[in-house]
Amino acid sequence: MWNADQRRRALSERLRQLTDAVSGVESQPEVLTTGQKVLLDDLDVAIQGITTNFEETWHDFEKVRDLQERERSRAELCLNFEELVQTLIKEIVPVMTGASASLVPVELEPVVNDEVTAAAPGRNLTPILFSTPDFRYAIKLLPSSAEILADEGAKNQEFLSLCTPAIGRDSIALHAVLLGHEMGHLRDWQNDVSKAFDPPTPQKWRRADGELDLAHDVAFEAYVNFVADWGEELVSDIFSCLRLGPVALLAFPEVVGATAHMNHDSLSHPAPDRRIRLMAEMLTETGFAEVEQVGEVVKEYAVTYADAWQRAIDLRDPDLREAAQEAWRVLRNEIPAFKRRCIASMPTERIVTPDIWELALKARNRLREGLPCGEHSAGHANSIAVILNAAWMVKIEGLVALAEIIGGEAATTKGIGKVSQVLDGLVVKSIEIANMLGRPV
Amino acid sequence: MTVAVPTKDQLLARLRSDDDKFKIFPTPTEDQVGHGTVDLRIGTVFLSAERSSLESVKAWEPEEAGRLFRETQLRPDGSFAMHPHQFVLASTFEYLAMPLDLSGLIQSRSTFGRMGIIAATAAFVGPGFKGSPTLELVNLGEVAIILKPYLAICQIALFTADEKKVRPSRYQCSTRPKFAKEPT
Repeated sequence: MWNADQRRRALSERLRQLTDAVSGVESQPEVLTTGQKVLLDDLDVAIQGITTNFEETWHDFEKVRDLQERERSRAELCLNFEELVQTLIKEIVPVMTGASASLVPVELEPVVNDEVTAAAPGRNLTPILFSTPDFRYAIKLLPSSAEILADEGAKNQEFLSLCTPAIGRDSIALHAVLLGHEMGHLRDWQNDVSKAFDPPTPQKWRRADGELDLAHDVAFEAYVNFVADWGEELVSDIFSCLRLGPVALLAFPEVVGATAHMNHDSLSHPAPDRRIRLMAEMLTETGFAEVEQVGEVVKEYAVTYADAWQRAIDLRDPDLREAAQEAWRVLRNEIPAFKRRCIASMPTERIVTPDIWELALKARNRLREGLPCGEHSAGHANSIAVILNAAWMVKIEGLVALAEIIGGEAATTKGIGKVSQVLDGLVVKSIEIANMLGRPV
Repeated sequence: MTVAVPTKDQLLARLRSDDDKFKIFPTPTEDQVGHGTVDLRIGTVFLSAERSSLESVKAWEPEEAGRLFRETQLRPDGSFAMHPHQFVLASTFEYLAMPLDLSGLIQSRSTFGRMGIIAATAAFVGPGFKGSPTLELVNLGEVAIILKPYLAICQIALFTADEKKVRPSRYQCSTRPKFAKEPT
């Protein structure tokens, strides 16, 4: 029977499995990042804390004389701790086990660390890159042991997990999305850019006195959620353009195209074409529509997706379409304010401008010749924005020059795949070199 | 044609010239360059043989032998233990771009050779080659030796060449150690 004793046994087993998983990862210290080591130490504290707290409280219930009451209290105790253990298993174990050096782009770690420190100054935030077997990329704050154990006196340690698909370890497109859009989320959370927007109650759902008509409360709640979720995505896209320049836009369709239709809105994200329109606009406003080679592509995107904001919402769930449409209407009007707040919250030296283009073109020439571009002159490193934009320019050209260098061809699917792989390798090598030389922001 | 060894000054001047086709990335410091040689560092990826169910490997099918090798990717602050008599493939951290008038041989540096770690073969780097050459390393000593990424473990000895046309290597533009491909 599923009584308190059985629950206690199951909980003990799960804690044991968790401890074994931690030990397994700890046994390979050579492949652990500093962030992972800190997370493992923190997890040890959490597991020990859970075990001790649980055991003490379980024994405290010995004092309860009423057997039914004791059983009920213990069952409830198990339930509470099961939730904690579930949190650890669901959220932390995948981060731990998927962070092996062979699975994640380790060359990006110094860049990620630097971006996190700049985006959230003053916070003790440890980023951890980890990979997943599915094509998924995301950023998430992880609960620390202090949070799990509700220990207010514990040190203020926070963890930030950044998930990347294992299949795309060396993918330039994914690197751009990770460093641009996903880091944009952190900047948004830190500066409350999207959160600062308080959406008005739509006129059609108001009573005569201006308050919400409760007949529309479900739609209103959905509307508020759409504004919050879609607002975050739009703001992260703006930050991505500011931080990386054109590659933020150029890489986006490639990454999102693998998983979503260009004109389908979802519960969490506005349709990709609306976001492309926003990024093309943002890049035009910051002068990138005029830069050599890529400027024309930015203009082309702006023209192709010019009507994307006017298009009606295309959401799978018809019951939510009206709420989503209202959300999009107010968000669209809020975009200029989002842009202003993003720019104001970002240190000037972190905002990429067309001034980088001379270096980006030089770096592109290097990659075309089959050379890494981490260094623009002896001992002087290129920034991550220069490297990624240069790489994308080689992609836009169809990889022909690079194919000739490696004695391959870029006319067949197989040939293109091989040349792309070489380009990815050159870019990763460039980032590694830039890290070593002291990459500029 | 007379084969000559370039001097340190000649190498430094060529490596720092924007127009010269001879490049090493990152650009070596003055300390890395010697008379006719440039010290090279080891990268972060190692391919090491594992015990497996394969009874033997046919010398004429090197790609099959590649199945014996497991890749270890280190973080910059990681380390790799080379056990006595172990054979591993690694690559240089530096990325070379050879001009048509130079070729080179990669050899272990004497400090490491005396500890027992040697580059098993002097890898030939031909004119026109681009990439991080694969190193075939063996620990001939009796104790394990710990390697760390970016240790200057080997050097390329350079000499003049007179190639007229680039013939891309099968390993052209590689940035990680590669197992052997089918012989051509």
